[in-house]
Amino acid sequence: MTVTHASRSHDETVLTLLDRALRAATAYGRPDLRRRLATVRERVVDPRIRVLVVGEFKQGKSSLINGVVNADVCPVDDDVATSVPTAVHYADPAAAVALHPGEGADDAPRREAVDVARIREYVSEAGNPANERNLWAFEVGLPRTVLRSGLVLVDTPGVGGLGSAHSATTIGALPSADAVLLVTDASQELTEPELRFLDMARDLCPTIACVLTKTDFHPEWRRIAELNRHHLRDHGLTATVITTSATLRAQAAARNDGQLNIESGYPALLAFLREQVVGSAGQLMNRAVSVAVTGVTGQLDARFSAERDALADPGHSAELVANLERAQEQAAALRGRAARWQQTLSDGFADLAADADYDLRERMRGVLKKVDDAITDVDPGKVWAEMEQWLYRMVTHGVAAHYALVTDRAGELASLVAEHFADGESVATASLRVDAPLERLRQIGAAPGVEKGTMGLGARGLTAMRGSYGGVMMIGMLGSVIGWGLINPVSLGFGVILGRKAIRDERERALAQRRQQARQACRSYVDDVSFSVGKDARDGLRRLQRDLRDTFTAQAEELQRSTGEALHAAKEALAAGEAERTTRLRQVDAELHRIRTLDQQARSLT
Amino acid sequence: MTTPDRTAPSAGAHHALRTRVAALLGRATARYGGTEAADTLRRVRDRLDAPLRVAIAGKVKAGKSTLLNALVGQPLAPTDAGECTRIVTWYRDGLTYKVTMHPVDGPGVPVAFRRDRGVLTVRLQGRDPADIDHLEVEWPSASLRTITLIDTPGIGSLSTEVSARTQAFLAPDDRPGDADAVCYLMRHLHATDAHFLESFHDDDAARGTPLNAVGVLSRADEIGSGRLNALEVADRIARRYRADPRVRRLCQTVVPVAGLLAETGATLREDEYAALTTLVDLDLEARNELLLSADRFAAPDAPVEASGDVRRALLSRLGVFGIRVSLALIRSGQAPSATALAAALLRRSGVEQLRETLVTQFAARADLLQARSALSVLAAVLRSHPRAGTEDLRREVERITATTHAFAEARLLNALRAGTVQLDGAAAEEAERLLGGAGDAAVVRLGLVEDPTQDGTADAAILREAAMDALTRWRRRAEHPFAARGVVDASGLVARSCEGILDGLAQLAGTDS
Repeated sequence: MTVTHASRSHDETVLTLLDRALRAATAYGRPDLRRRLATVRERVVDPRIRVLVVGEFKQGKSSLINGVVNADVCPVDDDVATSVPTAVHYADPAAAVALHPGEGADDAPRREAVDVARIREYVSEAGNPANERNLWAFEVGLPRTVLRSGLVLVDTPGVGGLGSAHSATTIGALPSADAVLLVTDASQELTEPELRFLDMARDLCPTIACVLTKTDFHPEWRRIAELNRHHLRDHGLTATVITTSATLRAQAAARNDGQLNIESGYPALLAFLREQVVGSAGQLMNRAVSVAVTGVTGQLDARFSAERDALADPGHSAELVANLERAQEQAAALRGRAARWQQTLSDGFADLAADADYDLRERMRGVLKKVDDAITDVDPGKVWAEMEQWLYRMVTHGVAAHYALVTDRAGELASLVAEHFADGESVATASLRVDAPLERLRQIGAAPGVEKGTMGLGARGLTAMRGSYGGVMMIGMLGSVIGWGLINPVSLGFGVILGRKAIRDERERALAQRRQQARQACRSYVDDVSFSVGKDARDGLRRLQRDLRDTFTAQAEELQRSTGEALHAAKEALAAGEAERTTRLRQVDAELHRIRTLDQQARSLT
Repeated sequence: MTTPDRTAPSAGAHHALRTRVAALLGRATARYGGTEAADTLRRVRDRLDAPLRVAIAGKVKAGKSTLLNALVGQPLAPTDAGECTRIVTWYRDGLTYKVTMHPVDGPGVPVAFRRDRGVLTVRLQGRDPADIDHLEVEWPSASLRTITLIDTPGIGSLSTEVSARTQAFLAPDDRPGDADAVCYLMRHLHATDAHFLESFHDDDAARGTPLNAVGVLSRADEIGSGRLNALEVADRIARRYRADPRVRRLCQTVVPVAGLLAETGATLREDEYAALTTLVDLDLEARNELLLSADRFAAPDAPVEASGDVRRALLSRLGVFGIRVSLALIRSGQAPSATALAAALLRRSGVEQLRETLVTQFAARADLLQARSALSVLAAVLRSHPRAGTEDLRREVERITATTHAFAEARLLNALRAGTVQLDGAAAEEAERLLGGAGDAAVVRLGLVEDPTQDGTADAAILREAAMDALTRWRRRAEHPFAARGVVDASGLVARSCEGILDGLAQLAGTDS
């Protein structure tokens, strides 16, 4: 990445805590414990809280982002303006990057630095009609305080335009977003497609708000806002409604008029972003930090506790040593190839791979069945464009649900494996704990392989950003990534839309041929998708399996080392003389105090 | 609504078609005598003599009722910021003011109504709106003489039941729809709009033609946050839609209309004008401050002469854009009186252009469109109530459908727009025009006027020459030895249209002399 990110402290105390844990790991001679802490630290320094700005076109999505950062970064036009997903994040000095597709299908996107003044040429419909430059995405960095917390605002091309595959793209990006702002203007209350979108988003994204725009222009905006609140309540949605006017915001900035700024509604929007979005992302972060630090303190605590027990109560030394020896044996057993968790892991993944394969096949078969039925009732020559869109949508939803299922199952499996470690029998020292490395699961969903037609570009664009914006927490989100909610709205189906197109064509032969061709085209598209998604999911699972094995092995090693050191320390303590013992006891108590203080601090984070 | 003095070559042919269909319906009614089907057929027969039925449809809040009021010239239909129209309502010309309620079950009953500042309020006699099929408003009005307007609830409504009613009314599953043509309002073309239009323009008499649909880019005054050039921008966007093949496949043309401006332009009052003039006298800064936002304009404590209530009323009548435009018009002296301002607003609203489009696209083709509707109902009846001795009727329906040149024209137009028949760019454009894709009049078909909605007259000799020229060219194309089968057929059909134009011109010359 060529853009340099100034260090954005998530929270000073969190960083201090992490640094102290890191120093402790070094000081106690345990560099192996540093790894986990370092990973979390990276995320704290560069948190990347993604906020998707979505909505039907011409609702003022780009104006909203411009209003938040008080700059003209996203192109605004009276006709359709945005053609490429654009991310706005913090950078000083300002910088812009265009993401082009990489050479091969699996390559990382190629990054081209762009003069900030020339953004329009890349992202606007005027400068880059129908995305003829073939960009995946665009990133703009700006030195704005509001973005310092790691906020990344993503402007999406409108939902539901003539090329309505956009909506599928946006849905595909939902699981990786920390918040969604649905932008809708004050000219009318929420419509059915908008609420349907929110309904879907609620299962995939933790924080949702509905931003009512253009309040300067529509006199009845208060009533519309009230109506929207009713609709949201009626649908059991907890989304906040925020009312804004980008025009007034710009005027307020130009005149430096505080009152007008308040009228623009932006202070309330910024407060929402700060408190609800950044705040809740911060909580997730705190949990991750807490887990990482307590994991380390637990390992250190085990060693010093053992030593202390030996020093304080030499009478029970035999029992203590025996206990520790058993723990070490168990830790060694955990490390071995024949360990039970290894068995669970490899069996689980074999099952999972088979199930995933079956799941994908079933989903795609279902899609094909629907398409086949639809083709029977229509003349594909006439409705091909709509048919194609419909097919893309169904396939994308199917693939998203597939990834969600696989991710979910992999999460369960990881927890199952972790239980072998947590099992009281296998590890005698209670403070030693192993957590399932859930954040690893992200990699499964990294590349939805639906990449045909215009949608492919957008989807890959958002995915490319998802990749480069990695690091977003998976922990805590996993439970919500279920994805089943996605399936219902589209399965309403083509039949409903085109049911009236029943045709009585006298030229049956030509029609039969067109239908045959259409079926063939759909089948080969679905086959392509099945193949690349199947391969992708299999590769992802294999990567994940390797990764989980390595992680658990590393944890087993840490565990073995910790038990080993505990045993060693206990034995040394027993060998020590009386005077020496007293001094050492004081020292050990001091160390334990330090470690436990750190542990307490880490626990108090959540 | 008046029909402009223009040479419409196929008018004679269309009238003959209507007569033929009417006779056929008469025979069918007799054949089905005494059954339920006979009633249906009699209604269809009567419908042939009634004005053309144009439905105003679109997504929720597209401005359907506002536009209806603008077209009628009176604020009849209730309008509101929230979702408003929930019952399909017919507005037809009549001798007296009368509202009839047609329940889903049972015959129509007259209902009481009152008018509140012009707007109709109908008492439903305690009935649930869901039990009412439609309301019928009879209203003596010159605007309704040639066209019966039908206001429909919006599609894409949160209340799916409301959306479903519109769909059921315009494109019922089991029978042809009750409207002959549709004026489809959209704020921007969304996927739902496209699907809807598709389901409408499909029926079996002249299957899949966009002939009977016109797109309206509504609420044009809201485009571009109501800057003074909003309507020009709306025009630009409408042009883009007109050029988009996906849109052309669905409707004839797309025109921008600022409904609120049109409605208020048609009904502007002196006191409203007077209130506006007091605002014109403000100095620039005070005016800018006032026009900053709707809230500021209507603020009760703003330091201006007109009271807060007066300003709030102006806002609801004109909108932010309407007020900006009105003030600009009055200030520049272009609107020295209420009448002048009303006229200027009407002109800018685009409603006149829409009216003109409705005349060229629908009214001038009323015979054709109504004959089509009637034929499709007849075909449906023959299919659903087969009975001995109706085979000849069925054959006759097929014959009319297959041999009527206007239907063939419509089918070819559709094929060209859908791309199933392909001609070279310039040729395709000319073919569409000659087939009547831009309008039925000879001048329009021959491409002798720039804007098909503008009145244009041309010398008969020039017209004849142009028609001859086109005929020769298309015959040659049809006879080209290397041409593909589809192109040959299409060219032959276009050549026949040229012959039709020539026939029409000859008849006209005959009646003139």
